[in-house]
Amino acid sequence: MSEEKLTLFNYFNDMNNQEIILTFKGTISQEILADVGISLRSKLNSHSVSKKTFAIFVELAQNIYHHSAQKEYSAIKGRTAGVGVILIQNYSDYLILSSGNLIESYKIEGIQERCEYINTLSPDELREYYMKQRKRPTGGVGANIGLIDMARRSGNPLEYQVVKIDEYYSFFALSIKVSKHES
Amino acid sequence: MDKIENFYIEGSDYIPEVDFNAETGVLNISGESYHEYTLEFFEPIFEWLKRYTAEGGKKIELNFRMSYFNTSSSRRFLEIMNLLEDYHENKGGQVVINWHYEKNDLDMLESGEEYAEDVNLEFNLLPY
Repeated sequence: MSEEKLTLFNYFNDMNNQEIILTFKGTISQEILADVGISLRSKLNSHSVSKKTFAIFVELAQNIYHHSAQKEYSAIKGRTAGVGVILIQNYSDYLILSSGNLIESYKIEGIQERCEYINTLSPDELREYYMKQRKRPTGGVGANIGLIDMARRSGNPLEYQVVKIDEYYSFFALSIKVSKHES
Repeated sequence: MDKIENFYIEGSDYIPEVDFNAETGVLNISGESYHEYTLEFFEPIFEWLKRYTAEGGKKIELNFRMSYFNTSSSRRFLEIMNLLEDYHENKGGQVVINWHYEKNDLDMLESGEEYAEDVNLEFNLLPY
């Protein structure tokens, strides 16, 4: 028991030291997102920064929801949804939003290439790429423009990390930095 | 042809209010849009629009008054506009799109500008 308490205390301290203001592990439903939106509005002074942060949070969360290789069944919704972890760090000049989830290893290369490509583009080129991709038909549930949208809103490069778990699965982490200074 | 009824979806935190008036041709979409199954959410909206535009020559005013929408909604909005563009160009429809944005919301203005570039319809950007 005491050991358990100590672990949680360390966990809490770690989060404080890393300026984590919000963290969530599991399936992040639209209902939870709505609450996150309210919470961000109260935590961040600037309306435009909180809107931007919320928009990026939604894209990260819905990426996990639809694309995580780890699924969980929801009795309420009657279907499965992706599981992952998401957190927000709040520093004095900027915020960092990070998400992590399991992904099929064969998909890693494509995502890395996509991130690298996006990171080479200027704001105008990102705009053009976004508009071009939005017109292209997709077979999937999403719009296939989430990464571009996050890069545009953030104005910073997409940072990612891949940890290979086994032959089939890897852990994919993505971090997005949002400046608190009005652009 | 059957008379087409009005179409209404009450908005919530994550779905927009959708208010389509079949008699006046004024179609309003407003609020926030980040439903986790966006395709399914928009399905009945497209079905109604397809029935509504089955008969040519109508006057349609489509108003967007959004405070936030996710990327999959962004794609659905473009598809709605494309459907109306087709109606305008090929079936004698008279379509105008009004993009209302909160005057300090530059991202929302920019979104409107991008749609205006993408669709060949009368497109008004209206601050409020």
